Amino acid sequence: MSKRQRFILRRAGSALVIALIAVSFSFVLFRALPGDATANLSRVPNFTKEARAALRAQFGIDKPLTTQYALYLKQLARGNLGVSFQTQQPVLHEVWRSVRNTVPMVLLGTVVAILVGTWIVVSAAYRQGGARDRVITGAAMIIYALPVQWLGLLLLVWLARWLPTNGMSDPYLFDAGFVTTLADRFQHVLLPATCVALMLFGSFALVVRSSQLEALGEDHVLTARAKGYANRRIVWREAFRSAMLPLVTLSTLTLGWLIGGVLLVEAVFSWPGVGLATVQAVGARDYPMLQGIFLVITVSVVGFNFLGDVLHAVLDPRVAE
Amino acid sequence: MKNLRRVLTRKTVLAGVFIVALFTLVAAFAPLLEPYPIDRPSGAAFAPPSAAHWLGCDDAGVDMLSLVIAGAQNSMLVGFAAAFVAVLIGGVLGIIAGYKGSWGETTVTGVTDFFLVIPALPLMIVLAALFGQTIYHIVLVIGLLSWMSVTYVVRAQVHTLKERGFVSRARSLGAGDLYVIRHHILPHVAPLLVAQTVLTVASAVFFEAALAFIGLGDPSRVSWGTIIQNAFVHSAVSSGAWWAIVPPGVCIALVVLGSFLIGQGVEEAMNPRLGHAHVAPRSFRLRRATAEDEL
Repeated sequence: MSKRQRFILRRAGSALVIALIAVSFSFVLFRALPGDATANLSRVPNFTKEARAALRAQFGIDKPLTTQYALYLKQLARGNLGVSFQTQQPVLHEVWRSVRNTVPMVLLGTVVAILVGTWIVVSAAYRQGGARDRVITGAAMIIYALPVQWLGLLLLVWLARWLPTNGMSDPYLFDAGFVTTLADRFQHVLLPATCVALMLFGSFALVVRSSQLEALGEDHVLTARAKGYANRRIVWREAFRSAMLPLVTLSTLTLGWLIGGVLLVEAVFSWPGVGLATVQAVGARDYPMLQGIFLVITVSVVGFNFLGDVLHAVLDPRVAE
Repeated sequence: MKNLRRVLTRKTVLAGVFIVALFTLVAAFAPLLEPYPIDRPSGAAFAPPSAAHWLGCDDAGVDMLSLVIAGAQNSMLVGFAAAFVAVLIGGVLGIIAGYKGSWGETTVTGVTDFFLVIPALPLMIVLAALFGQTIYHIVLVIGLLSWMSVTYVVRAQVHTLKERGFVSRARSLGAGDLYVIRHHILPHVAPLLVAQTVLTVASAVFFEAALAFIGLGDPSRVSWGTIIQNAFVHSAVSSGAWWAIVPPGVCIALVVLGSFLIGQGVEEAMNPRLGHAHVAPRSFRLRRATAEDEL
């Protein structure tokens, strides 16, 4: 086994351990705390002790905690996350549906943030401390400091006249052709994706800039300059190539984090994804749903962290040493 | 003391201190500063900014300036209280990990790593939804999930302090662990703790606003977060009432920026090498090349 394989195996092991602890942690949070779902029902008129006992038996919360924990793990292994209080549908089904809505919007925003952000920042960082560099770094700092939900609301105030403000599609659009449907979807995704892109630009710009500055100071860049290469080639082919590594890792980590990180964006634009599902679950005190969402978000973060480690080890063999 | 003077002579740090101090003062004297009562209307619904109402009115006709001032009180309260909880936990764990080494360090870094991986906002939402949403719960929920970076920063600092001559000298003279920590470690960690407190205040204000927007703010109190949420729920957007949305967000952004400036300044003063961006290009941090001119 090579060093790299051993490194990846070790990271996989620790990712699994963290996921298992998170799963147990969520069990403790939702089940083992004093008071259960039936405790408040005693205020309901004509609610008898027998009815409560029956309810507790029905939901299995009359069993000892260890038995409940074993049952929970067993059901989880089969992909059973319980049933949503709101819709009476399996939580896994509901969460999956919202994840499917979240992913395209998040991907669009992230790709735009990475491409546009990188281009702007890298071309400005060439003259460190120059006017463009200072303006862009300042803007990134300010955007980074703004609350996301507030940024979203401002976008709404400015652009609500031209773009659809909520949801994923026009509910009155029936039997439209493929092109019309696609255009409708695109219009709807534009605002939330812009908000995600802005939010990411704040943090991406600062990291990309510092790694590009570092790369510009490397010896091979100096050599390229001495050889008389064009500036564009020096910036992009010589410096940026070595500055890309942190960007790749950061992008992977961000993708994992975003499933939960766009919570507020989705709440502002009523985008029917994981974030909106969370808000609705909180509003309805739908604990099974909330737990399912928390588990899915956590697993996605842990999974993408692992993926980031693997990518890093593949791209930079020194990491595994 | 020399360090403190060096920190305070930087323009960026001064600006940060000014901003944070201003908002803290506003928060402290909020009831005296509010021009109108915040529990009843004093103008028309969504009245635009005017001479009587500098920042306009919200959906119920309550003066926005008064709301923002009252909001400062609760937002800064949550910020400072949560930061205190976080820095207390993070400081203690960091000193244990850095000073004790061996199993103490392994345990602390393990737990810290775990909490760093778990996404903070979703977990805060779950906790706030489960435990209730009074301001005390919100402080605890935010504080209990914000200590991780403090632990790492303090641990690293204690590590280097432990190797310094004065610590081994004190130990060879028979000083116990507690004595060394109190007289030799803590004084050197204190400025870091201050910087971390300021930074955590900012993130706590941020998280409070996020929780409030999800509908998990303290319903009996006004904060910057609840003002934004209130404007959203009561369709300030479709009414075009930008003045009901903009002020609280600007306040949050200012507090966050001010804290960044202070935190960054203290960090640079404690570790002056960070300032020379063009001399030490490997420091993998964003530094201005001119930083050493200001030192």
